[in-house]
Amino acid sequence: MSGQRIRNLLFSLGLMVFVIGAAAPVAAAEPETTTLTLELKEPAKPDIPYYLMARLVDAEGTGISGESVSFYRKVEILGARLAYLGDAETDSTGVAKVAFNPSKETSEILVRFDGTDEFAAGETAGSVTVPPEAVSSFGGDDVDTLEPLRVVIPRLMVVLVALIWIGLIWIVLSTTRTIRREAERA
Amino acid sequence: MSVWSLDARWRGDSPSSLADASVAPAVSSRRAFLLCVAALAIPVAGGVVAYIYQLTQGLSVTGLNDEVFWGVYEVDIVTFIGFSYGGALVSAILRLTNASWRAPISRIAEATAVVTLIIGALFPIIHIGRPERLWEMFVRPQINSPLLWDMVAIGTYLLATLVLFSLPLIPDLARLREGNGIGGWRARLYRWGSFGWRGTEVQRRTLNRALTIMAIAIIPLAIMVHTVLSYAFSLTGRPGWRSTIFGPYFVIAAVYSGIAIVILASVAYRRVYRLEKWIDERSIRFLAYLMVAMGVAYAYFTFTEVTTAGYVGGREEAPVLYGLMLDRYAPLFWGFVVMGLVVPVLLVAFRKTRTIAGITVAAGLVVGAMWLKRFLIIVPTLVPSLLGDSYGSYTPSWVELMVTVGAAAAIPLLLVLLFRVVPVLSADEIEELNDQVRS
Repeated sequence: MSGQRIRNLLFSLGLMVFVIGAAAPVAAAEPETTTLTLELKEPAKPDIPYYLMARLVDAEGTGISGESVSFYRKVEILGARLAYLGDAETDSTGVAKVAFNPSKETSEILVRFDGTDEFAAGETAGSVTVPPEAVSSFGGDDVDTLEPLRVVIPRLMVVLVALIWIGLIWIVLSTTRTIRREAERA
Repeated sequence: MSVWSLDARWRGDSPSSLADASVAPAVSSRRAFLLCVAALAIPVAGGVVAYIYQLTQGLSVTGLNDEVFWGVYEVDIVTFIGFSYGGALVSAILRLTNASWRAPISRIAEATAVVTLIIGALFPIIHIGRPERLWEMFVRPQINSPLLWDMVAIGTYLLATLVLFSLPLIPDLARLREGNGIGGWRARLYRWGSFGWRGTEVQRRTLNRALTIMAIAIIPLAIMVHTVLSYAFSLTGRPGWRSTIFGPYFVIAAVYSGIAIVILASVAYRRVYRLEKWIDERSIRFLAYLMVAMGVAYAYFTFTEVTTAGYVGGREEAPVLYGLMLDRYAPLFWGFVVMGLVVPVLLVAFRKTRTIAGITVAAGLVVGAMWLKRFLIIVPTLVPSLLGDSYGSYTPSWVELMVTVGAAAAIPLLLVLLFRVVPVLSADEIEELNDQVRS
């Protein structure tokens, strides 16, 4: 092997080491992919609430423990919004759960993991369905119960604003009309 | 009726009668008027040019960015609309309580309310990147958009302030429609605008009733407008804005700065047109007392704002408070406390400095400091990122500053133009209240 070829080989090896060395910290900084799944846990006996369960796993399917996961319900009140249901920390199997008082048979749920330096953020959405008897008529944290206000409040505000405008214009017109009429009479 | 002119003012004369005094700006030297208009029109034109540049280049020419998405324009919205509230309050509350000292300044207060509101109402439009789509707010209104309700609130309040300004003009225009030396289109306007006013008992009763209703209506309306403005902040849930005191906090700030601007306008007209005999020191002094009362209330609210946030000690509030009081914005914050709260109160509190000059300095400090305070409410809150431990930054661009200076100059410009047409003093009201005092 000639000296030139050896130099070329060494240069190529050096370049590879440099590229891999430079890329390695970047690759190491990339957070690991995660997957979230949503489940509904039915109560074992009456008077125990339903639980929304989310399972957070890494790329190999191993549960990630000690991370905070947020639960939301999709609602319609003055536009589409997310009603916050609660946060929960994942256990050793990667499962986080929050108590759930359904206000209707089918609810759209969104679960979100904000991510860390180690694990990538992720979210999942799905619908959960409960039997009719499980639906509570009123839940303290249930914004769907305010749904009628969505219809009433904007209309009430429009009427109120219209009344104010009419009142202001009426004041001007009635005052100037009376002043003019009185001037003509005088 | 003799016509007092600016030429007479150069000789050191004051208007000899109330009628002359009320039209002093309208009959003053045309040359002086045009010079004044030209001097004020230059910064206004600069602001218009800067805005046109922004329109063509987009909002990237401002200092706004992903982190700090509200800046000087939002400060201007709150500040200019706040100025308007002071004018409306002075006129409305003092009318309801029949305070006799209000009469010389009521016209200036009402005009200031209208003019500052018009300027303030332009800023939501200046602030949006695509103003040509404004019409879509009317044809496709989104009821969950704060911008829509801002527009409704400001529009309603503007109508109310226009009514409050226009109705008391009727008797004064009637005084000018004949024999005042003003002819041409202005004379025709006075004849039309006086609606045949003759000062009969029925006419007076009708007008007073309408003004009383307006004075009652304008107070809650003004409160609504300014609390709706505060909701744009406090309903976001953002640390630093997420506060239950923001409604009254904004209202008090508006009254405080609004009274200051009325003082500045009154003192300016008093001095330029030698109206000392009519806009007496007592009226300015009483306005200063009101301003100080609002200043002390505002100091309390500022104290409450920082102490409640600090007491709760939320992790999210901490960087905002730290930046405001101890770090990046501390010089501005403490500068505001000293120049906007302590010094004005002291200037009015001590007899020696409670002069027209002292009160004017106090009012000027309040106007400047309250603009700064709105900046301190808006920008330091947005600088800490919600996405982690990063910080944004914001420096107003020359475009934003030129638009702001132009808008500030537009206030005196519009007042000068307005009082070239309508009487600066509410002569009828002054005489009516003087008669009441004598009887």
